[in-house]
Amino acid sequence: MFTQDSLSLLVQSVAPSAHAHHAPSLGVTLLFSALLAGLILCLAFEEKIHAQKSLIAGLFAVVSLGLGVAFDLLPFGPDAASKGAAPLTNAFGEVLYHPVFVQGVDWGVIGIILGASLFVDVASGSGLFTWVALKLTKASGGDPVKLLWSYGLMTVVFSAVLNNVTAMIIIGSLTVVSLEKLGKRELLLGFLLTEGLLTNVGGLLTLISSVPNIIVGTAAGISFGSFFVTAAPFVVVTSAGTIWLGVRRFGIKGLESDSERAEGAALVAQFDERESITDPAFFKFSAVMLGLFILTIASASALPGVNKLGMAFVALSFASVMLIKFKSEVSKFYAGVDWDLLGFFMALFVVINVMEHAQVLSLIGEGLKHIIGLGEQVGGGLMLVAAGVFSSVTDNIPLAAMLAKILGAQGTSGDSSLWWSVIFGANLGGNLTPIGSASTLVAVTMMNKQGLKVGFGRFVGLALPFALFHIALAVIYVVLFL
Amino acid sequence: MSKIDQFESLFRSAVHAQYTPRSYPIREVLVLTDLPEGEDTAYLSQLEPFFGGLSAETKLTLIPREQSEALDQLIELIKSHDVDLICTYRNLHTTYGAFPYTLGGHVEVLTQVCEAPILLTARPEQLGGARMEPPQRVMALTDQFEEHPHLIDAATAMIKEPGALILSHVEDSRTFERYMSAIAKIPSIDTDQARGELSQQLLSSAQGYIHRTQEAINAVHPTITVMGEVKMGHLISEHTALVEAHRIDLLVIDTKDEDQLAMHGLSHPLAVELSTLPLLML
Repeated sequence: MFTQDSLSLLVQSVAPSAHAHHAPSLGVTLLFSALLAGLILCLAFEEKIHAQKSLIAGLFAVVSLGLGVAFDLLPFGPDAASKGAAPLTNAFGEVLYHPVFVQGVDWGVIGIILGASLFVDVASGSGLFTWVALKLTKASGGDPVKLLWSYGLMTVVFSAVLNNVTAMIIIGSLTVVSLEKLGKRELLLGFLLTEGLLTNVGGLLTLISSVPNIIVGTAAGISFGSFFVTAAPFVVVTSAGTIWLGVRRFGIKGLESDSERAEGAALVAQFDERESITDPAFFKFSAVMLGLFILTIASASALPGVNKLGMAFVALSFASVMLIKFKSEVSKFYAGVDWDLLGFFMALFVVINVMEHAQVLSLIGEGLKHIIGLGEQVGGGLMLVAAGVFSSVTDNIPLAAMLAKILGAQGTSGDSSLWWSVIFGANLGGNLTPIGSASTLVAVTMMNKQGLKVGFGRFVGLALPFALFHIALAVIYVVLFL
Repeated sequence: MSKIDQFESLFRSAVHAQYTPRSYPIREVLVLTDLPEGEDTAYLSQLEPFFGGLSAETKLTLIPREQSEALDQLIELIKSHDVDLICTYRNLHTTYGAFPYTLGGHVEVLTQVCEAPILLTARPEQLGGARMEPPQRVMALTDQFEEHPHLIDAATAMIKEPGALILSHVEDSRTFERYMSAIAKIPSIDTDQARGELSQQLLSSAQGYIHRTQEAINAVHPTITVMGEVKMGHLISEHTALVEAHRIDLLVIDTKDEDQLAMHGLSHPLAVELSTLPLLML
């Protein structure tokens, strides 16, 4: 147990001097800690309080900033012109003043998310992903086992290239339609659950596959290529294991007789992949652009010029090029952007920035030192499990953002396995509960839409063996191989 | 509209049901008449050429008047025969002039009770001693060919090649307008968009199925010309007009469904309206 004096000393000792504009008292730090806990609790009960993330985080950002000013924690300019703004020196040595809440936001992350979602939204409109999905459906010959392998692997790849939610929507919708067509609706639960869980596995594949990856990877300075090389072996093994487990757990059986196979093949042959393509030229253009996008993102750190502008530049540039095709109706795509998510990120970054000034992150970081102090192996494994459990009940983004800040402040080197503990834990924890990630929530919504009646308890019961398998495998991988 | 629904719609519209030609064997035909002895065999002789398009194995068995008069006995008799088709005419055992707007009690009961399809010809007095030629221009009609491919199987089987198969799909404009008037009262749905997209979807999916059916039939029966008629309109008047326009020899319609809606919805009025046209009621 910490005493008040020891806590005060602790806070003073871990406070980074560069950030300590006005060293807060222990009471102030604890007040802001309570505020952070309140934010996390509200996000955990987002569904119960019927409020969207951006508003929850926005209100906490307003209160945090207000209290930050009241306790004189925030950096402001020296004169009247710069009131409400923090000084920032640019490359020419000029001092600029931006509002503190602008400087607190990681605009690189926001740029990647905005650019990538716009790019993916426009590319999806070409029918590219549905074309691939229908092609693979036909290639399965209507065999349920082959279909689950196809859909499972597609979920992983789509989650990596698109985002978890879009991948779940595309593959989940196709699953509903194709199993109906094959007269195998009884397999729907097993398919949707396996796919939902695989979205979070696929979300680990690349640096831009999920928001925690972007936040933690960017903070650790992990390049796209290095991220992929490190994560890919785990994703491949875990995906195969998950699908195998899904086949066994849900009693999915292949077609045995020739007549069954012929009937299955005839039924899936009724899918016409050309139906989703409205403009063949744009379809080809989108396929080429997607390839180029992945290639450019992967080599961003090595491309002269691009390495200075960063991945956000790449994502926004590709989105702009794609939008040329729809130059007179770009607002249609802007409307499709998940502004709640972007607003949430911005507000969250503001809250975390204030928490940093209030020494809350230092306090948590000091607590984490006990875990980290157990060594990279035991400590890393413990951190992964803790991050997983935490992510299963609340949003994994604040967790990732907070831990990334803490690890960064503690000078953790970029090649430390601790970063990976956070990444794996934050992503895979979402598989423990239906509220653990947006994509599993979509999977549960689809199950209930199909009358499968899957509540919190039933989901946990069904998903637990898978989630434990994922986390155990991740601990082994991080501890032994990273 | 949610994205889940958007993608489900997209994938559902990518499912293009495919017609697979299947044989429709007609070996045993039971011929029912209410004619006196002698006249009944004459009717049978008039009828025989009509089955010229079928295989030589097709056997016609005449049931004498006294065996078909009592409905209960007739049903038992039909059940005791393993028949592929029942052939008779409108107003069997009924005075035609007294009830011109019905098919007669016997026929109406048989269409719903018997599993075997029923071929209705013109009444013997309407035939006037003429031989019934084998049908070369056959029309099958329904508003759901995908659900009733046996209509196409049967229609194809009856054609004396070379011939023509006309697949007719008419969307009921009155039903459509009723739904549109309901949609027009829902502020969240754009009425013009709903009208355009709904009618386009209804007609294009039928057109697509008929197009694929043309290819499938031509692969097996190259001498059968398959034509499609897809439109929105009044069911009875549109179908009647199409029968005349295509000079149809045989109309194939569905009469058996769980709720007997087919018989009471479209098939019955058409059977009454087109009183001299041979009708194959499945």
